[in-house]
Amino acid sequence: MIGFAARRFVAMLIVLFVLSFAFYGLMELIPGDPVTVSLGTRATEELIQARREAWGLDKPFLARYWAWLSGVLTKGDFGKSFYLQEPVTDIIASKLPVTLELASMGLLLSIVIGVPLGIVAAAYKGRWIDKTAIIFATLGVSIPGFWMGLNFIFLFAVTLRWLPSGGYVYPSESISGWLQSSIMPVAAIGLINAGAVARMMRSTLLEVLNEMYVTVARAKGVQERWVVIKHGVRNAMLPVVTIIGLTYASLVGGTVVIETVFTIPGISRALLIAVNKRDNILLTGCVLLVAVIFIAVNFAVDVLYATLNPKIRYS
Amino acid sequence: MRHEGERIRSISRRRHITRRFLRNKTALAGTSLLLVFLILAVFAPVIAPYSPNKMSIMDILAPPSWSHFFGTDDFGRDVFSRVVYGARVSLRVGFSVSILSGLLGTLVGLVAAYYRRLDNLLMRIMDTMLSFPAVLLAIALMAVFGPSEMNAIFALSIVYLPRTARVCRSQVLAVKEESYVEAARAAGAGDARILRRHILPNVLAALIVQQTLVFALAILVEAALSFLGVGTPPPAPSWGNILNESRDFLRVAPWTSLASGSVIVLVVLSINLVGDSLRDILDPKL
Repeated sequence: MIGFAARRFVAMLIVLFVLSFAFYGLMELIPGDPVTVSLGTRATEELIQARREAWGLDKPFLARYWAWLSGVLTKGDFGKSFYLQEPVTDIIASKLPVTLELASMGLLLSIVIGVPLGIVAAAYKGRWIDKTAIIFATLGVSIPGFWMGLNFIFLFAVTLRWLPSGGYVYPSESISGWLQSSIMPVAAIGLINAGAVARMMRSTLLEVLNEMYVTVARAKGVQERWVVIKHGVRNAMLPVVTIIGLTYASLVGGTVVIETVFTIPGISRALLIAVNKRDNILLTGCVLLVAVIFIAVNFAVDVLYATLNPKIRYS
Repeated sequence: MRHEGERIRSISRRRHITRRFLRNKTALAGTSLLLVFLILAVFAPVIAPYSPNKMSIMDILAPPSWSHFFGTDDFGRDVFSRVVYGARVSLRVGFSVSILSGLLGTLVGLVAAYYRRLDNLLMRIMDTMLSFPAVLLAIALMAVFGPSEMNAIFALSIVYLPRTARVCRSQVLAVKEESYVEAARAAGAGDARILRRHILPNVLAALIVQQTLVFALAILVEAALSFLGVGTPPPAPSWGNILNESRDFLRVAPWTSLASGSVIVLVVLSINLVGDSLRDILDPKL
């Protein structure tokens, strides 16, 4: 187990190094740099030169990359964003929690809706309730989350005026304001993902219900309801929870787009600034920190799975 | 003689699959809907009443009417015509990404499964890419490549490559152990021949199902990228662009968002229906 963890850790370091070099370097190859973008129409030759020197862009690429990498390795300093003129770690520390909070609440909502729906669908396979659940699930994976968000805004903010059309209130400022500003984005993320969760729950439970021990339980005369709950759901939950854990990354991706719809100050704003202002320090920082978090989460899910399921052994 | 037998078996299997596909109502519904969008895309200049970028100051934000089925936007452009032309962008991106990521993913999957020395390295790279949120990776790649339809195709192909590689690898690993592969090797067949004649045909079903899924996902993510302003650049009539533009006048002209959003749902739904039915028909194990 320790050997497995160590190998994974070394592999992760190599991948992160390659990622950092690729993103830091590739931005250099594309025409246009943060200085000309930030100066816009005011750009004169002297101003450009002065700013390039101030931002250290006059040094050769490898020297800059090395300075940046040493900062990361020795001080955990991911550099200062060219455009925002703030340390990248500060920017991400203030924005990523908002994204993760929305994604987590959305995930929770999708489990609350999707798991019971999948169980009911599997228990009543082929009946109208199963067909309705399948339609809901297929629609869920076909509707873009950001369009669902736009429709929510039109219905609940523009037409009914029940909720604010966008913006974000931190829970430390006002709990009710936070709830109001979070309801629509979380509902959009949760409803879309609930379809996928329901599909997964249904197919896994159907597989489990075909196992021999379920047939034995039925033959013993156990009530169907208890067969489904005690023998079916219990055994289907482990793979379902694992898969849900692993889909968290894609959920965060969807959250980034939802943030733009509801003008929420999450990681999407930092990323879009990095893209539009050609801020490669900010982009590399965002990519690396997000990669570290997700590789760590996946690793934790793997280890947890191995601990919970003794059939799995790592070599 | 043996080849003749193989040929007949392959024809009868193909016929069997076609018959099952045609009997499947979901598959038929999905295919018909997809065909409608394909016709819209191919015959866009004939079907669309106006040019997608033709502005008309007299018709700014006009509601749906007989002259403008889906109304007009803030530049007075006909939303129906833009949606029809948008089908071209979406289907082109979806199709190209599913083919490109399919080819690259299959190559990586085959190499990883067949040459075990490279397996660990290739799969670690694929796993890392998979652990990264797809949309975030696509945005970051678009930052590097710059916004354009072609770059969106490249970026999304990179994003979806690991999924295909994983499916291909696991299928090849299973097929590799089959007795007919062993028999072929014993008969003196080389790696290339075994891969081409015995392994690839048997993993194709799972790959087709996977790439149908990628087709639908690529359309969704391209729309998301354009919506964020980093995909197909405006004024190209991509569905994501139309949705992005509709945000500013959602209050006064909700039809623009309704029209472009609904077509995304319909086209993705049709591909998902086809994919689900194909999975049931081709590979009930998946």
